[in-house]
Amino acid sequence: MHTETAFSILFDGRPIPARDGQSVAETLLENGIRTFRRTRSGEPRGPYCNMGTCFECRLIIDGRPNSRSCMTLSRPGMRVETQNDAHIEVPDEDC
Amino acid sequence: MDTTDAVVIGGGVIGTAAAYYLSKTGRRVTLIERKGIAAGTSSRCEGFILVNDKMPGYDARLGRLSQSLFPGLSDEIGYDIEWSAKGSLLLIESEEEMAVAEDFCGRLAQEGLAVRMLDRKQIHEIEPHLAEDIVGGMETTTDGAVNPMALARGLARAARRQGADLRTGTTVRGIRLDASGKIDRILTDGPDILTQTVVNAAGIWAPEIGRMVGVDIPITPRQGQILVTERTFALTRRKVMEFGYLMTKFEKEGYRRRVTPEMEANGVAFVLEPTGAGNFLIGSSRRFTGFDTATDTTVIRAVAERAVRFYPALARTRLIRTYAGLRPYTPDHFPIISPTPVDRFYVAAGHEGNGITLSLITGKLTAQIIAGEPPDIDLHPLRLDRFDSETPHAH
Repeated sequence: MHTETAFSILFDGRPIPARDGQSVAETLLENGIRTFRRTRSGEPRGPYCNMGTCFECRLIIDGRPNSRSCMTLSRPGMRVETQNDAHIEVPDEDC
Repeated sequence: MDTTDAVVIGGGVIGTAAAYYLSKTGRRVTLIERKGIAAGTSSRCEGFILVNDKMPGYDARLGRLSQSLFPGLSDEIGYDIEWSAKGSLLLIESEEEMAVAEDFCGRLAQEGLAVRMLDRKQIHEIEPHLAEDIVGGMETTTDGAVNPMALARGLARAARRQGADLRTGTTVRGIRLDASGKIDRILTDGPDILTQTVVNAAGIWAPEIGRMVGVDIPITPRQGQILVTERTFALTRRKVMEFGYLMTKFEKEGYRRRVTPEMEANGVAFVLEPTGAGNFLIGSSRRFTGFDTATDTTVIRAVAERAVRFYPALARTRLIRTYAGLRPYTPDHFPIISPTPVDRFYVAAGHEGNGITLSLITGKLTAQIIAGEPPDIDLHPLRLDRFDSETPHAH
């Protein structure tokens, strides 16, 4: 790990280490997180194609639901939350 | 050569409803559809089952008669048509509109419809995501929606269980009359079908079928474009439309909304339908573009802008696709459910934007006409020959 570029992001309110240039999906997987989202019937979902086409890795990034974690770079202080498809909240005004 | 009691041409919600109610009377029915079940307008629309957009009087009574057939249909046909009855809301933008709406609501209430006015406080209580300046609304509690494709499919399957023969992927090439002018047979790209009774339920293509027997049917395609959002937050559970939608629908003279020239030119008025899957359908536009079902960015942008005006949070929702459908428009906005100058050649078409709502009553009335039973409602306003005279028909 390159300590000079290490930072943390918040995953469901808990800080996890991330590195510059990593996608959110990579950061989560590196931290052992496999469930990014739950379908309306409650089934767990995570990255499948990891290149932006399958939409399985969607979760909430900085308040914005349905964000593709494989297509979004981790940034210091980013707030990432698992998404429950049965209950999606209104995104914040500023996101 | 096949022989059948009646041929229904068209496999949309109207044709499948006609086939369902006709086969229920014990008649042998053959349904002919060029493509597949619900391949035309029935899969390029919204699923509203509404009375809140009907004119007080005959229009509202016809709508309510049809609507009352929906809640029990899934059980009746053993197929889930995804009926949801969360009610509808008409949104009111200004005090002037409020006055018109109160009068409209009062007249619908006199028809016995379950309508009531909501003031500013009441509407924002039940619709927290609504734009702050909306001054009120009209709620109709019996209104709901179905999945139109499930409706057509369910009706088609039920008709088949009652003995109907479904011929999808079959094109009608002609209708042959005998020497006395009665229907003799239907010519198709498959086997010919011997029958004496035909129901023309071909929607925007009904004029083409009518021409085969020399019957002029004044139906014109009127395009509407619809936006589909991602599955998203529960913005609303109701079927929502702007009150101005009625005004554009009825082409009310002298009525002006504060909208952009693009919205005005394309007949853009806001309608919103939550789907069972969690997506929203946003509509819509009204223009005559022939048989063109392409969408374009000018109209899509105008529809989206109009939607954000009523529900600002929609600006933070992504679209996943857009589509256009063609409404079968008639000059007086009423459908044609009628006999014609050709003996036993009937028309059930021309519902413009009311086809899903009126599908069941249309099927039922068509079956009653053919069986010679007393109809559930006076059929005079729906007759084809109302277009014969120059003077507008009074309802």
